[in-house]
Amino acid sequence: MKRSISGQSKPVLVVATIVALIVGAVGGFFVGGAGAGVVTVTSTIERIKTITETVAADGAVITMTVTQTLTTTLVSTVTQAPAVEVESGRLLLFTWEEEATDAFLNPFREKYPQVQLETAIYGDQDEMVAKLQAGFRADVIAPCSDYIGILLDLGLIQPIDVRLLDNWLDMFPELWAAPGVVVDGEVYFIPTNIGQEGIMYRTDKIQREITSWNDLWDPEFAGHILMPDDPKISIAIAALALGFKDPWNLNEEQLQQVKEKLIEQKPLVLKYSDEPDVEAAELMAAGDVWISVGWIPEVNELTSEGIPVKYVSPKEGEFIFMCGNSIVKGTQMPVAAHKLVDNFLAPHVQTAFADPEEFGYWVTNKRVVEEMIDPEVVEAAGLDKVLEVLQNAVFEEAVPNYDLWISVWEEVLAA
Amino acid sequence: MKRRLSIYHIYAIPTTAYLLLFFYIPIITIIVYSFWIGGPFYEFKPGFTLENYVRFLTSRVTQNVMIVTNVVAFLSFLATLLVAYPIAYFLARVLKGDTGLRIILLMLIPLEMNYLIRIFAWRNILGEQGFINNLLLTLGIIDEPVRIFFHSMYAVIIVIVHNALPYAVFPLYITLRSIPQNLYQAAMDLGSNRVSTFFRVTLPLSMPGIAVAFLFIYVPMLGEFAIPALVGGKTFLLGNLITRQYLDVGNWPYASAATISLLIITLIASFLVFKYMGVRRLYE
Repeated sequence: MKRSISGQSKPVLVVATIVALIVGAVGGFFVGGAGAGVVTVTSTIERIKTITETVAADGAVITMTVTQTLTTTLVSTVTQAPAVEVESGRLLLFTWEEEATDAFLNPFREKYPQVQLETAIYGDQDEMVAKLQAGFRADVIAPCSDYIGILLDLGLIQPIDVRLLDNWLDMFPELWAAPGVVVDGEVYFIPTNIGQEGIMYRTDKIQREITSWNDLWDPEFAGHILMPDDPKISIAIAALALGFKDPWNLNEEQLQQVKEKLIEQKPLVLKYSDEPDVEAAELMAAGDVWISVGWIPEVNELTSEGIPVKYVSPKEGEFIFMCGNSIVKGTQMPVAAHKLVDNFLAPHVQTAFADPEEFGYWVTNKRVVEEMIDPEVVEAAGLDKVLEVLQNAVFEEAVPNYDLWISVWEEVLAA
Repeated sequence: MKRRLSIYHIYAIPTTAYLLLFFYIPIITIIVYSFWIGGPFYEFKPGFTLENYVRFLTSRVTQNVMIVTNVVAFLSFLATLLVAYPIAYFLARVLKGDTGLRIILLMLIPLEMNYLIRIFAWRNILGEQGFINNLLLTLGIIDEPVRIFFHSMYAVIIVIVHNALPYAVFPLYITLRSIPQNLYQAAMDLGSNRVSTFFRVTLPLSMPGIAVAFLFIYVPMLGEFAIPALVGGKTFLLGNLITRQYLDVGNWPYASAATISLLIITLIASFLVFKYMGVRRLYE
């Protein structure tokens, strides 16, 4: 997706332009022109790839340059931040169930007692968009990078002033170039966790090794397979199983093949689930589902209940999602909203996200990774290799011809 | 003659206001939306087009879903009727006095429980390791768990029958109660046996009750989405199609056109049932 910038005078733009220039100098994927305001933000994963490759080729020097320059610029900007007070009043966080916990939110409540923090939950991002669009008033939401474009098109989110985020400087600076973060020279999205989406299965019901997305097509598991009722992920799974390299960009002929592949799978499927994260865990615990699309936190949860499950990253590639927070346009509590976004970058949340026995995500706060987590854990989970993860994975992206995807999926459901 | 407003018309205000606010205005909103220019992900704009209707009524998806929905609705109705008729007959014609009515009141108690909770309860009863399978396994009737009870069309029908039973028993009870006793004596006098009395007297005269049961069961089934979503596995009905369009796809004009089409179809069906199946007799 391409977006061009219109002239704006906020400090964020200056900062972003500098980022763009630096990244441009390193990788050549950004075309920057500060004065004229002509900055084109191009496709995302490529950018990160370029940075990492250059870093790998030239060693630590370039990494140092990138980080140092950014830090200097930002420090000078941050010191100029206006003194602002956190408003008092009601603040609504609209988020995933797993993030609306007291462990995450109580430190914020203690720090800003004048804010009455309330939470509301959604099961998937379509639901979140639907409710906001229908007039539901939230202040902070927890989208993932693939939905930032949609949220922006609908005018549902507003720019974030990074000067108000205390932990912003601790974030991996390379993530500035990650998808959804900077759009049109403004920061709209603060990534806080990066996770994997692959296959999970019951090791007592399935003896053989699971290695591929095609294992979801194995007639031996007939009636025990769960697929998500989600055109995006289900079609992408079929595309990877068919061997297509870029599952987010499929032409009509490929979509036709995907449709046939999914209809071929249908007799084997137990259910297309609307809330696969909750339902796959429930049905796997009950023994109805043996193999399903899966996530590490769910596998951890099932394992702790004594159910023998395993997560595998299929050989065709697993999906990587990057989620975080955005501020809803027109919030009455802008400063408090910024402080709440900042809360999710803070060490108490970031260490929990990184805990392999809890969430098992990659986190975005570099200082937390380097200073606050057991180096053995960092090593084992590759927490310091966030960029390589983004580079190798099938990153979840917005789909250009999504209306076609929707009708293909509907035909599968109605087949 | 001119109708004059009297003080008693004030009594109609709360009901009228309620209906206006929560029924007529939403319906009109949906009708307006159905003519807007549609698009996925809430990218719809005001305008006037019939495209949503054309697309809905001509698409292959709709045709498939319509067939499945009607099959499920009809089988559910038939199954409910087969269970409800003997119960209603027993309550109305075998028991004396008000006992039948009291039992019907008992049947209404489960309806006090939340609809979704009742469906969730069924998930525990129908599962592969659920109550039914465990019972059948323990009794030695089956050797391994039967899988058709959960995440299938049959599970949908079982749950619907359970939900719909009181709605079928009640109108059947009323019609069966209202058949005059002397008709039976006349049939017997004219040499009819029990079986032919049932088919030539009882059944035709209970048609209005069957018609009402049809309206109570078949019509809501056309828009049902929670039961298939929770126990139906792959079962994808009209209600699921519409819900998807509203909540997941975000194409409100298309979803609205589908809703209005469904509304019109059910209105026609209800009209026909009322007109030709003698429902009028129930309240005259």
